[in-house]
Amino acid sequence: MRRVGLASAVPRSPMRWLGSVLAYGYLGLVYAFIFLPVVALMLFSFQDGLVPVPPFHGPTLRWYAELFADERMMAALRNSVWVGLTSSAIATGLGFLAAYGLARYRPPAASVIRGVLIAPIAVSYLVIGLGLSIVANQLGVGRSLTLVVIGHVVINLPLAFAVVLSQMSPAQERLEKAARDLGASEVRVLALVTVPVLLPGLLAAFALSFTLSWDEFVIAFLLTRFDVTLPVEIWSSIRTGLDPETNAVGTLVFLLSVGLLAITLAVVSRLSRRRV
Amino acid sequence: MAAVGRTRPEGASTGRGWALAGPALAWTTAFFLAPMVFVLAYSLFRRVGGELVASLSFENYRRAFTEAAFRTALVNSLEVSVITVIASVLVAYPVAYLLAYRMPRRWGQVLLALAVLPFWTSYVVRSYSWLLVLAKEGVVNRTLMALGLVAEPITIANTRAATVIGFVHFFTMLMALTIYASLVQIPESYRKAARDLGASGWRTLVHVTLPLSLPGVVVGAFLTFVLAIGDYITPQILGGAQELLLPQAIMLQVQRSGDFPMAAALSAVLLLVIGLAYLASARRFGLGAR
Amino acid sequence: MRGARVVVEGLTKRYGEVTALADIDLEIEAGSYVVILGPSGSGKTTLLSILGGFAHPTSGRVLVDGRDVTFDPPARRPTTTVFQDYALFPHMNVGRNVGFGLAMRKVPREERRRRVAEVLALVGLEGAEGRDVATLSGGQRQRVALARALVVEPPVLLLDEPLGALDLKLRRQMQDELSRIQRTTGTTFVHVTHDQEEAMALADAVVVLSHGRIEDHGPPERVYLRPSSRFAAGFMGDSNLIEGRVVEGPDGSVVETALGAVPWGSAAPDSRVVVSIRPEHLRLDGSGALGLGRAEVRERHFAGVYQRCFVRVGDLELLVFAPPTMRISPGDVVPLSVDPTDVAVLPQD
Repeated sequence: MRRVGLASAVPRSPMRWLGSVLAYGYLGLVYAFIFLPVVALMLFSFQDGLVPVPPFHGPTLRWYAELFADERMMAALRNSVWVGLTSSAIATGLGFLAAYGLARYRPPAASVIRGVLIAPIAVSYLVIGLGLSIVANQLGVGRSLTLVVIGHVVINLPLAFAVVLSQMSPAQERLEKAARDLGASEVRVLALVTVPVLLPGLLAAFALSFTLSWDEFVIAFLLTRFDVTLPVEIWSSIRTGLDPETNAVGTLVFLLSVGLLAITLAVVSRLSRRRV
Repeated sequence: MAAVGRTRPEGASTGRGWALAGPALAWTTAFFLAPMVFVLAYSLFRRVGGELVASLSFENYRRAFTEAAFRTALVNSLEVSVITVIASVLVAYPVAYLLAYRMPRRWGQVLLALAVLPFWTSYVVRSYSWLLVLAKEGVVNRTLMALGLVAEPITIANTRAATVIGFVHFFTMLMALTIYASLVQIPESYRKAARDLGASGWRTLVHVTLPLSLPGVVVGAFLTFVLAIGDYITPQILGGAQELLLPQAIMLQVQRSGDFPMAAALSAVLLLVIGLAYLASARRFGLGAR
Repeated sequence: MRGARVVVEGLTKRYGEVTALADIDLEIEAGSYVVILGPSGSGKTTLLSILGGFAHPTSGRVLVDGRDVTFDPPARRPTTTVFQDYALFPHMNVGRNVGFGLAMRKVPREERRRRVAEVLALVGLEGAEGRDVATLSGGQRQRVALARALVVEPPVLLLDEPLGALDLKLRRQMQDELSRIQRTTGTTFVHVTHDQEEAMALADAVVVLSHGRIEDHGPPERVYLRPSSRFAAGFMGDSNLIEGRVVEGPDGSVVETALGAVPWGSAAPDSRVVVSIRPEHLRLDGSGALGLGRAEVRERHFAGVYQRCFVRVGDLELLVFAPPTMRISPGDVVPLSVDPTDVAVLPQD
């Protein structure tokens, strides 16, 4: 094995061999710990029995069938997607405009603006949800998915803003200057140069926001009543105990999230490679 | 981010900067700052006999720090969070170290991605799956009994231990990420130089690697503490009703008692603790020029 | 004399299909300043890594003062390395950086402090112990890295392109410093660089590497004036390389080239050779003993110390460094000549 730097071709002494065994043994244990619950979740979603615990009977797709037939779950899933897409779009849009305004125009008190926009990161979701809940009560506004969208934009805006801001560079600014020099109006510069160049960053911000929104529980819990998001619905089903259908929806959510991550990474890296 | 050598834009452009950032600012002000003000205001009100009394008083705060239930919740939260941070660092550091230094870079990255994969289960689902493992009839107990190691199922779920396990599971992954990022940033020549000058592997770790990776550890520890102490889900699913942590106390006030002022006050206490944690660790984040 | 003698025997390093070093044999005199010169990919850094203990050869040995250290880890080897990026520990000040090696050797604090102060004075940074590494300039960091390596009194000091990050003036200055320090301490210095001017300024002996092989080895003057190989001739400064063939003549062997016959002592007749003439040795005023025909001046650029001229003789385009005051213009036809002692005949390889 070619090792960069500190050489290893020396004949291994027993001590070093023992050290290696301990090291990789430790790694193995930690990985087992990390994967244990996920494996249990996935395995027992195929349980042919009423309780998703050992011994394992099956496999069967029965619980997935029940899941897709469960109208409440499916509605919650649709709601989650809607909330996720909407709040991510708003967060990314607002974050992009703000980052663009700050990076290109350098208004005075830029650091104050930056501070205000990043501030929500420091506050626990529980408190953000509580705040919105109190305000909604005061204004007599009932709980709804719309409130959840608002809350999710609050938590995702700082991240979208930070991600896009980190992607802005003097090199891009020069591209925009060149476009203006060649006669493009502000709007066209934005549409034809800025956004395409920033696309990987924008997609990353969108994907990150969606992932966080899709999985968010506390704010959704506090701000919804009848129409709920998926995590809230899963929560309700957990209250009734261990159930393989819950395993099924959990496995599904996991696979969807990982799939989404893989797609995002592939797209972002493919786009980034086009950079000159 | 500064465009070096750029002259300051004239008034019109400056206005444009504010205009572009305007919508984001408006949203944050309306839906974050304003609610936070409400929370602080409410924390000074009281709920008496089902009615909101809008006169200023510190009654809620007094209760938060003196009433047994609330004080216990605060203390429990602090204890659990600190234990979580320590345990997560201890478990994650060797993993990050091995992935960063004891294998080719490619493998390390792949294994890191693998280690972080369960991060992507929904948080609620992740806590539920620990319930699957730790419950009386769960994986651990069934396995132990099948192997004949115990006669009766041992109680792990619905205890502080379960909450800590659930937390450590999640935050070990987070810490492994931040510590790994910190470790790979250390130029290899530093460690080579230390070895060249006579330091053994262990002494290189203690004198060079550890101090230089500290910012990554502190960032991870801070994030872990903040996220753990503010988390409602894991203690509620895994810890059960035996021991209440602060977020659960807050939720109870909202749902059972409808006492928003008290909930607000407890939230303010939570924010205070987080603020103190930030002050304590910000200096060590290592952000900016070294 | 504190320096050690280093011998490399049959050193080969292969990474899978790639051969980084091919059967290197080298003897480095104790207390000398040796520069290993070569372009990127020549294997010079690999060689230094093996000398320092950061890599092991596929075959061959490294001996320091007669002792086989091939597989000794860096800490147990009588070498210390100055790294290209200096590798100064950012979380320690200058004093603790420099004293690190002494601390590892459990040298007592008082003695450590004394020796650190001494070596900092040696490198011209007296009193800098308390300074924060981040506030140092490039040249200062270089000196601290040097001090840190020297304070442990290594018999052999290895330097990996130590001056690469410095600007020209600073580099020249540091070259003088390095030379002075080496003479003061008597340590054997092995210095890797791609800059041939640096090599010539510093070295007692130059080793020219290309593609893992030694192309030439010797005192800088000899390697420059009488290179042993085509690569060495081309790498150490500019050179005009002209193909030729050895032919038996009435007064002994000569080399037939496009410029005419060039006297040559040995080498088999009919063998193909390359004639190397440095631009500064070609004369445009007819003063050289060996005439090379008439040349037309094509281009002329003033370069301060000389005039850089491209001349054409028949099909050949040659580079000539003419004296700054000589009157030359493009289009002039001048007699081209050279002193026979300034002509080197190299094997065609």
